[in-house]
Parts: sequence; structure tokens; C-alpha cells
Amino acid sequence: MKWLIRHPGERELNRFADGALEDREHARVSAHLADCPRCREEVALVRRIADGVRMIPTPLARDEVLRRALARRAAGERVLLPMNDAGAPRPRRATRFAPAAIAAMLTLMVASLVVSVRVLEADRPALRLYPERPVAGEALTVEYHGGALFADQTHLALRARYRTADDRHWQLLAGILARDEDGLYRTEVQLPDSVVYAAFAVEDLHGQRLDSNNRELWDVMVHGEDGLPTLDAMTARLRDLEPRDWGAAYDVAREMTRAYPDSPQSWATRFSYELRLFDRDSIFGAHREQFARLERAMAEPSQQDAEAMAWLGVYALDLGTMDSAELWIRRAVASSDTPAAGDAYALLVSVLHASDAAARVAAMDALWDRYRSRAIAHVGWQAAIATKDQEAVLRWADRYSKERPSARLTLVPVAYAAGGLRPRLASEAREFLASPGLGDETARPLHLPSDGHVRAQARRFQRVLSQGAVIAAEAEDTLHARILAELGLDLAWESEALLRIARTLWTAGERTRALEALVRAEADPETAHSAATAEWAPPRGSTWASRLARARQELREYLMADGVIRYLNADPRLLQKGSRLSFSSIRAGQPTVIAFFSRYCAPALHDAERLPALAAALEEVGARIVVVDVDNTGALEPYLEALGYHGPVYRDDRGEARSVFHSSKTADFFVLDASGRVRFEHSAPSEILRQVWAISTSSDVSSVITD
Amino acid sequence: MEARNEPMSADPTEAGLLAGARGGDHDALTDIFRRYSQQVLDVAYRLTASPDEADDVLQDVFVGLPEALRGYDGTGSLGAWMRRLATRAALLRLRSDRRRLKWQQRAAMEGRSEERPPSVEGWITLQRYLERMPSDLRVVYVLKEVEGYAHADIAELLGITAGASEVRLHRARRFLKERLRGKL
Repeated sequence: MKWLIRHPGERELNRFADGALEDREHARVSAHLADCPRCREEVALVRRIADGVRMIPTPLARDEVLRRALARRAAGERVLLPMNDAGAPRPRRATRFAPAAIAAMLTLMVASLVVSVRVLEADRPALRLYPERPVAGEALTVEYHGGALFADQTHLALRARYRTADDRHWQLLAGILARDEDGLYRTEVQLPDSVVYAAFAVEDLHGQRLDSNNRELWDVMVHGEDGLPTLDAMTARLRDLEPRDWGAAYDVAREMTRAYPDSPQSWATRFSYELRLFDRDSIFGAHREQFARLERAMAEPSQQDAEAMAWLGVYALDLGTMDSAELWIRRAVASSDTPAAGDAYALLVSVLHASDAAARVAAMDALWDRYRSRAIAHVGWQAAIATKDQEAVLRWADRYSKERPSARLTLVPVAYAAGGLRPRLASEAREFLASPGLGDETARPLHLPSDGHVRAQARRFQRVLSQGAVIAAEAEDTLHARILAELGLDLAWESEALLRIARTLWTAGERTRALEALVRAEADPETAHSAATAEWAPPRGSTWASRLARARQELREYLMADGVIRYLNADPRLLQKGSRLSFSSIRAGQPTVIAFFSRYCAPALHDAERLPALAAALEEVGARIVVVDVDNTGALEPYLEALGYHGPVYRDDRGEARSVFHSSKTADFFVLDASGRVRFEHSAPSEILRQVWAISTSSDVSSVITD
Repeated sequence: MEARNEPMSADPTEAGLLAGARGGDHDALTDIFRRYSQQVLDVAYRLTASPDEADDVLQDVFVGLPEALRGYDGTGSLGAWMRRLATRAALLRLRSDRRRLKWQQRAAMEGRSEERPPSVEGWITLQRYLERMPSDLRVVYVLKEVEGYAHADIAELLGITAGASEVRLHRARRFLKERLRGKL
């Protein structure tokens, strides 16, 4: 066939698509296309894409823009617009062919664009920071549009979390936003010179109403003279994002390799994320090639930077090439008097790879003398525990608690295991809980209001104190077991913790208090069975049933304190096996949990392991789970099937569900009642079952769960 | 307003409108805004690929419009003239922010060189491809394919040669084709 002889080049086909070929060439290419489906498809693709781009909807012009423009003119501002007119564009040459099938596919494609553009517009941030690319130490102008949430407030608090290049971070009241005549709130913030990253949230002056940009916060990175965010700023952003949106942190890691492709730190960081997402075999080849490239570049004298060498060592460690790791870490240490973050981290990793626990602690002590950070304190603390050496545990507990005061209580159970610290840490726990303890504003995450923060802290401390109590009891230290259990009892309603507390108190002879804890554990559907059948449990009295009913009512109230009532402003449509279904038809009037998952988010994969059990438990109580794949790659469904979840997986290919639910991360869970109202947002998987129980008024549901 | 506006052609009141707008009269500027703001925003959005940037361009155009209109001699429709004004304002904005251009170019270059796990590729929607295209390629692509400029006109607007414009168009098309093949 003659069209196999010579295909036109890509440029020639482009010129053909533009109608820019001379007549003779045009005729030749036309004749070729008539016989060659491959080239025909090339031309068609160019035209399909162009048609698609022309049909992309644009945002709507808003009157607000005119108002601002007129206000600027009224203030005397003038803009000199470029005026050398290039003349009118020539008419576009008509498309030569547009088959109906192509038009239909374009319609589908453009429909998806309509949604994404609308989402973009709706999600436009209400807080703006100028300049958008500040340099270190620059003053920021902050402008905030409050909307209805703060309509009655003339002043608002701007809270911030600052991060430095050496991994220090702290939260503060960065400024007071004052409402101007135009309704916008404004303030100025001076970034300290050491700060490379800042995240912001806005709240009323009492910390009760809060706008955290749907938990995404607003943030800014310090930029270098080249206009790029600095590597330190990107690293700080990644660290800030990781606990609240792992997928976004991974995105930053990938951006680091794009912005700084020659930096070993970029690639080592990215690799550390991909290790948690992909099979080693699927990523090792590409990363080994990157490593080899970086290693070759590092041989250049101009590239011999101690920190970069240290990061190359870290990269090698993760790749399992120990000889290279040792080489580069040794070179890094030899060429640097003052370890920077990278080589400190490299030293840490090398310490962790040491075989002997005592030697590891000694190495950590030496490192501590040279370089101090929260990360080092944390690793040193873990290394000390492994030795079971009480002196080392005490030494590192001191260091860790100084670096991270809010972690002091988490040291309790582990320190008990090492012994020797019971009286001291029990008294610390008592002092901490007395004041400022749970209400410590400096420890309050930006996305939580004051009362939400206190409740979250209380839950955490109740778990910690109950663990400490059990360990003390096992060590036959009844005195401190009782103290810790008593301290934890009234803090919160963590039912597993309450069970531990009940048992500790019962063993310590505190029978009345033990029953108080036990009835609360038994009221919770999650632990009702364990509590009712516990071997150690005392005989229940005649009033037990009424106490249990009262406890259930109290538990409902306790749970609902974290609840909301939100009506969905639209009925999102989801795709399943080629059919597009409305969310309302899927939930079919039942209490429903909607779960947003991603195949490419490590914490989401961890939560996915709970799905089969959760789905079965929900089905048992007449509720359903709607699992939504936000990646739209189809990779999630087989992954979940392999885990044992065989229910439907819906695709949110247009982003409609994420937009309606205000979900920006995975895994993300929402609990809806039978009327379709959102009652709990961003639920922890372990909370879901009892949240469903709390909103279900049907006695059948209650009895199924609790029996 | 929040609604698409349509240009008005052969409008008998346009002369009066222009006179008022040249003098900075708010009512006249408001009238012009209602007629042409959507066209201005469309051009700005496609060139900048950013709704915020497009809003800023629209705002700048209307802050500077009274002075700019003194250079409009009535040849051709006011709507077409406004689109060209918006094109130049958007290009000026992109050009003046070299740091942004550099960042976008680097971010886009990774798209060619980066070894991304194949299954991740499916995440990226057409919308993101357009946003990720280097702005110097996107500008040529939009001017040619959407606004219908000839390479010679694009060359004049951007201060490059017509040949360079053609090369950029070719690269822009390849950028999109490589990513959209089999998806449209």
C-alpha cells in the first residue's frame, strides 16, 4: 500500500491542519490521508484538541471587578495599557472535517470541563496574600473576604503556623484583621527572617468560629531571587501538609524534583513517599537511574556541597546501596564543620542502621551535642527505649519533652515500661492536666476551634493515661495505676481507654469509679460486647439497665458535640461501570457513609484495610457505605477487591462529589443521616460506627449494634 | 451581573458612550463593562490559564480604558478592539512577571523529562494539561487556535519571528497530543 511508503512529518501534518500548505502539497497530503488512518488520526487529534480548547468555558465576569476598577480610578490610579495594535486577526480557516463521533466525544469532554471550571471558581480562596512570592523577611499584606460566617465581626484573628528551614515550627496570632469600608478585612504580617513557610487560618476573636479554607489553610512559601520557592520552603510545606493531606505532600515532593531536578534532597524525599505507594520493583529502576545521574554530577568539584552529599547518602540508603550510602555520608561529614539539616538527617539514618542498640544511643548522644532538633530528640528517645537503659530513657525523655512539650504525656506509658519514671511522670500528668494542659492555645491546630481542640486533646490524653495505668498495674504499682486511671476517667469517651481504666480501678479497689467507667464502655456500640463479657467484670446491680440507658443518651450528646447539620447544595453524580448515578439514588434514604479514597495516598491505603469490616458492620445496622475513587484511574477498585472489599466503587470523575462535600483529601469520611444531611465531617474511621449509631433514631439499629 | 454578555454591533449610541468613557465617566464605563467584559475575560483567562489573573487583567483594562480609548479610531468593531487590548494586557502581565514564566517553564519541562509511574498519569485531566503547558507555548497556541491570529501577527505581538511562532505552535500541539492521545 502506497501510504506505507512515506508518511508526512508531524510539522507537515500540522500545517495541513492549519490549511497552510501550498496547493500542491495540500493535494499530496490529502491523497495520503485518504489511505492512511494513522496520519488521519494525527490531523483529527490536532483539531479535536483545538476544538476542545475553544469550547472550554471561562469564568463569568463579575461586577466586583468593575467596582474595584472604578474605585482605583477614583483614587487617582491610571494604567497605561499597551496600545500598538497588531491589527485584526485573520479569520480562522474552516475545519475541513468534524465527524459526528468526534463531536459527541468533545461534548463529553467539555461537560467535564464545565464542572471543573465551576469548581475552580467556587473554590476561589477568600484570603489573599501579597506578594504571592515573598522573599525571606518580607512583609505580607493579607486581604480576607469574610462572607456570611463573620458578618457580625469587625475584627478577626489571623492565626499562623510558621516553619523555619531547620524544622522549627510554632503557632501564633499573626495579626488582627480589621474590616474596611469595602467589607474586606485587611492586615499586614511581617515574616521573621528565619521563616520559610507560613500557613494561615482566620477565626473570630474567641476562637469559636473558624475558616480554615476547608482544612486546606492558606499558605505561602518564601521564594529565592530566581522566583522559585526555595528548597527549604518546599520542604517545610511538605512537612506541614503531611499530617493533614498526605497526597498533597506527595505532590510537593514531586514538585521539588521538577523545580530542583539536580538536588539529591528532592529525589530522596520523593522516593521516601513513593516507597509507601508503589511496588519496589516498579520504581527502583527509575530511581536508581536518577541516583546514578546525581552521583555523576556530584563528582564535579563545583557540585560538592556537604548537605547535598549527605542527601545523596540518604537516597542511597533508601535504595539499599549501602556502600554508596557510607561513602557519601562520610564525605558529607568530612567536608562540613556544622552539620546542616541534610547531613544531620543522614547521620540519623546511619544511626538507625547501626546494629547495636547501645552504640546507637551513644551515637545519638554525640549527634545531640552537635545538632539539636525535635526529630533528633524523637529518634534518640526511641533509641533509648530500645536499650531499656533507665538512665538513657530519662536523659532522652528530658530532651524530647523539652523539644516537644505537648508530647510529654505520651512519654508516660513507654516510660513506665522502662520503669523509674512513674512518680515523676504521674505528677507531670497531674500538673499538665490542671493548667494550661488541654486548653493550651499554642498547641491548637489551625483547623480546630478552641472547644474542638480541647475535646481532641482530651481524647488523646485519655488514651495515653489509660495505657499508663495498665502498665503501672502490670508492674504492680497500684498507687500510680489508680492515679493515672482516675486522671483519665472523666476526660473523654474513648471507650477502649475506658475499658482499661475500668479494669485498673476495679483491680485497685476503686469499685464505684470502676463501674462508672464500665457503664460508659458498655454504652458504646464499639465496645459494648467486650465490656459486657469481660472476665474481670463485676456483677451488675438491679439499676444497671437504667444506668446504661442514661449513659447511651450521654454518649449521643457527647458525640453530637462534634457533629454538624449540613444540607448538600447539590446532588452529585458518580460513575459506576459506565452508568452515571446520582448520590441520592445510591444512598436510597439510608444512613450513609461516603468515603473518598485514593490509590495514591499511603494513609488512605492504610484506612482502606478497614473497609471490608466497616462495610459489613454498616450493612448489619441498615446503613450503607459509598466508596468513591477520586483518582479516576480505575486503580482503586482492584486494590480494594484484593483487600476483600467487593462492594461498588464509584468514580468522581467530574469532581462533583468532592466539591459538594468540600473534601480535598483522602481518605475522607462523611456520615449522613437517612434524610441525606451531613451529620459528621472528616470522621476518623474508628468513630464512624458509633457516629452512625448516634444519628440513628431507630431502636432496631440501636439494638442491633449494642446487642 | 453574573451573566454572559453579548457584544452589540452598529450601536447608534456607541459614539456617545465612547465619548463618556474617554472622559472617565463611570456610567459609560459600566455600560462598556456590561457589553464587553466577558470577551475581555475570555481572552485573559485563556492566555493566563488562571481565573484570578484573568480578573486582574479585566480590572486593569477597565482602570486604563479611558486613556486607551483615545487610541481607538473607530475602525473595526469595539468588541474586536477590546479583545486585542485584553490580549496585549494579558501578555504584558505574563511578560512582566518573569519569575512566574520561569517557574512555569521549569514546571512544564518536568512533564517531558520526569519518569512518572504510569498509573499516576491517569490522574491528570485535560484541564491540568492546559494549565501546565509552558506559558510561552500556551500563549501562541491560544492566539492561533482560539483567537485566530496569523503567525505574523503573533510574531509582532510577542516580539518573535513568525518562524518561532510556528515552532511554538508545533511544540504546544505536541505537548497536548502526547498527553491526550487516546483520551479524546
